[in-house]
Amino acid sequence: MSPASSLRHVIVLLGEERYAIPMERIQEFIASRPLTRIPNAPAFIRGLINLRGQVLPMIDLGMKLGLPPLKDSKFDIILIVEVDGRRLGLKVSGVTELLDIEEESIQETPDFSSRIQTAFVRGICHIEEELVILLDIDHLLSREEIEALDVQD
Amino acid sequence: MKTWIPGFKIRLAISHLLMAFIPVTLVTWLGPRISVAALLVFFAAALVISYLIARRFEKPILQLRDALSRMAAGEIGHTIETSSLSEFGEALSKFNTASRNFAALFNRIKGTIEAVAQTSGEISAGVAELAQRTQSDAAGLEESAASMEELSATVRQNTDSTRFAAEQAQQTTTHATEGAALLQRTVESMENAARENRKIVEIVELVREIAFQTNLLALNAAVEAARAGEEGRGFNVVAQEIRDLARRSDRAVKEIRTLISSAAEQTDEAEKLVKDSGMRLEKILKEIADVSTTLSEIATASGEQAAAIEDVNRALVEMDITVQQNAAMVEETAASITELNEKARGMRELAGEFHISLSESSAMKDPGPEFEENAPDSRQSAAAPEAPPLPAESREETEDFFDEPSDGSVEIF
Repeated sequence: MSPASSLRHVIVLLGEERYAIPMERIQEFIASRPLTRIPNAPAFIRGLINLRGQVLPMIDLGMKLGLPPLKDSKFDIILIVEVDGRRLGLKVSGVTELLDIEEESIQETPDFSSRIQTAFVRGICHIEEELVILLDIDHLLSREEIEALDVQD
Repeated sequence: MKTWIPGFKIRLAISHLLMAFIPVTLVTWLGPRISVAALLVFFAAALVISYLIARRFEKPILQLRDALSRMAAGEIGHTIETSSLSEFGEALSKFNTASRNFAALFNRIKGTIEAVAQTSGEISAGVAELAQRTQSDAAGLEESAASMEELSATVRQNTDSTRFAAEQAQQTTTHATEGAALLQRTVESMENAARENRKIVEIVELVREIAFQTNLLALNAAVEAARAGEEGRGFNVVAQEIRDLARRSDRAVKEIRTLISSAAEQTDEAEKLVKDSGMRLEKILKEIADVSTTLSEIATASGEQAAAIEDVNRALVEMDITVQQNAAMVEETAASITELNEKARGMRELAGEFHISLSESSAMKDPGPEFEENAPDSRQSAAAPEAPPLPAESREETEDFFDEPSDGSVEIF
């Protein structure tokens, strides 16, 4: 197994679904904490959190992916990532494992019609008889959304 | 107006005087010329006269004798027919009156005897019925006494059963109270257990949080190790180990949580059931108390019943005694009545030995309303019949005056 050909991924849980996020993009794992709601913000932005004095927007990854809102629990985990130089909190239900995924095992996403947003899907791979979607967090938010966050900031 | 009748003695004296005077006159008058024939004639005449006189005396005496002998034979009310106004006639007519009065009296006595016989027969029948009734009364009383005895036994048994039931209820109350106390203790134990459970849950929750935090630390360590590249590889392995431990802790905690929550559920359920049982037991206790009250009421009522039955029994015994006495008295009365009956029958027989024969002529001549009316009326007082005979007597004396024969059978005095 060549280390060059594989990439470490974090397998996160959104409700019952499992998604893979590249480990290198994660700066930190923090526990769920009190948040401040933002009026008139998109629904998937749950609010603002305080991380050692820095105020970060927290996104419900489930809602962002078009899944039902994640249930709040004190055992929720927030992934701190950086997109376009902006730190964000991504709320997930939990982290099941850290996994090295080989490049070869990643399959291309099928061609869906243009109406379905598939930009944040990097590919699909089989893990333990289960299809897991690999997320591309750089394409998770649209330009407008990032700008909206900017204005907020 | 009474016709004068010369006295019997005077008339007898005159006849004797005549009889003495005739021979004296003849001797004086005829003197020595008197023949033997004349004397014979004279004696013959004297004989005839004497015979005639004797005949006059003889008939009423014979009649009287016959009448008396018939009376002696038991014939009552026989009268002698006479129309003579002489002393004999008077004597016979007095005899007739006496005979008729006696017949009337006898008739009344006979009537009375009949009435006595009849009444005593009726009394006898009544007494027999009374005896029967008294006997049936006695039998009924005996039955009643037996029934009361049975009833008394039943009531006594009732009382005993009720007392027993009351004791049982008391015992049940005791047991139920003990049960309630045990249940109370059980509830307390279960509440303790539930409290402990909650504590355990809290601790387990803490352990889970620690596991979670450990997991987060391990994840962050892995992130740091990845950043360190090759040099962080060993650190990454340690982080992996810690993550595994944290995951195992988390799994164990989840299992414990499941077990505890199941235990807590069961404890809650048991607590609810025990409380429910306690409530039921309370209800049972209250109901048993009601039952006890009812039982004691029944016991009281049974006691009163027993007392009442005792009273009735006493009354029955008294009644039985009275009835027995009545029966004895009725028996005595029956015996007396039988005797009375026999006496009445004897009297009737005795009276039957006499028979009344009112001779036709006298009956016709002396309608004697007092006889016909008084004879059957035995209830009339004895003084009443004494009055009427007097006018009858006077009437007799006027009507039967001397020789005024109503028929040819009457001899002339």
